[in-house]
Amino acid sequence: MKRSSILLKGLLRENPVFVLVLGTCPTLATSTSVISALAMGIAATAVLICSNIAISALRNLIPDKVRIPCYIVVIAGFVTIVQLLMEAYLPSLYEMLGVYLALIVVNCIILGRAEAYANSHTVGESALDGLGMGLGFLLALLCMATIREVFGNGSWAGISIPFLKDHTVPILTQSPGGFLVFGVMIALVIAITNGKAPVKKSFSCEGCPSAAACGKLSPAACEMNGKEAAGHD
Amino acid sequence: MKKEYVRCVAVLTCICLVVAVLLAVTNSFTSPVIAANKEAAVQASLQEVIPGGSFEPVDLPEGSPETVTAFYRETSGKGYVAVLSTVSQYSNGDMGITAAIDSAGAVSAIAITSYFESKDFGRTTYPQNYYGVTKDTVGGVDAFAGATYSSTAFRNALADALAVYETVKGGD
Repeated sequence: MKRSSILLKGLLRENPVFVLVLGTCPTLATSTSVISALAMGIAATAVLICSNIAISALRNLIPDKVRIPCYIVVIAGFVTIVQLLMEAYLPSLYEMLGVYLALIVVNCIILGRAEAYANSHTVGESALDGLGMGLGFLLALLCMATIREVFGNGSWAGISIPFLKDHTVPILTQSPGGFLVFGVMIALVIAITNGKAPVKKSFSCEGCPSAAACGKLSPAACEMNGKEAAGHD
Repeated sequence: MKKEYVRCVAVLTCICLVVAVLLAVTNSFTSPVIAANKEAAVQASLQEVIPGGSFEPVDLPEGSPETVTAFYRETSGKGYVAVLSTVSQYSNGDMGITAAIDSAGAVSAIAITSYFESKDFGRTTYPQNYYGVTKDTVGGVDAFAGATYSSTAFRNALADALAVYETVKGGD
C-alpha cells in the first residue's frame, strides 16, 4: 500500500470514529466544546503514533501469549507521560479533559491499531497509520464539536457567535444531542463513501484481530458467515 | 514450553522496566512544575473563598488529620481557611478543597481546586449544601446518600477542617 494511502485512509474511508465506530466514549464526552475536542484529539494522536512505533519495533520480540499485556503497558506508559506533560504545562486543558485523558489507555482505537496494524507492519508504516488514524480521530472530534458547540452553545472554541448565541439548541451539548450528531455524521460518511467503507478487508471478518481465536476464518468462510448473518436479519 | 514461559516473563518485565524509567524521567522534570501549579491554584482559591482577604499561614496542631494540608488565618478577622486534600473513588488524583470558616465556626464558602471524577457535575452546586454547617451539624447534611465514596470523603474532610479550626481557635 502506498504511504500516502496509509496516511489518508484514516481520514475518511477508514475513519476510526465514523466508520470503524471505535473510541465512541471519548468522542461523545469531549465533543461538547472545540477546545476539549482538539486537546483530546492531539493527546490521542500522540499516544497512537508513539504506541504504534514502539509496538511495531518490538513486534518480533514480544511473544504472542503476552502481547496484549505488553501493548497495555506500552500504551499506559505513553498515556501517563502525556498526562504528566499536560498537567505540568497545560493545566487548564488537563482539568478540562478530566478522567477521559486517563481513559485513552483503554481507547479501542489505540489498542485496535496496535493489534490490527502495528503488530504486523514496519515502524514507518505503523507511524503513518498512527498519524492517519489520529488525524481521523481529531477530525471526527472537531466536526462533532463544531456542530455541538456552534448550534448548542452559540459559540466556536469559546468565541461567541452573535445571532446563534440567542438561538441555541441546548440538547446538542447534552448526551442525547451527542448521540444524535454522532448518528447523523455516521450516516453522512456512509452516504459520501456510498456505503462501501464498512466492507473494507482490513476490518472485515477476516481482518478482525480476533480472527485467530475464531479458528482463523478464511475469506470464503467469512463471506458465507456474512450471508448467513444477512439471512437471519 | 518452560523456555517459552521464561521468555514471556522476561519480555514483559523488560518492557515494564523501560516504561518505568521513562515515567521516572518525565516525572522528575514535571513534578516541580505540577507542584507549583497546585500551589498557585490553592493561593487563588484563598481569594475565591474570602475575596480581598490577606492570609497568614497557621501551624497545624499536632495530630491534625492528614486531609488538612494547610490552615490560614485571615488577618482582618474574617475567619480561617482550611486547605484540604482527600481521595475520591474513581479519581486519578486527589480531590482538593479549600474551605472558609467564619468567626462563628461555620463553613462560609468552599472552592474545589482539583476534582477529576466527573466533568463539571456538581462542582459548584454540591459544596453549597455545606454552607453554614458547624462542627456539630456537619454530619447532618442530607445531600449525600452514602452510596458514593466521594461525597463521604468530602464530608469527612470538612469535618476534619472544622475539628482543626476548633483547636486552632482555642489556641489563639
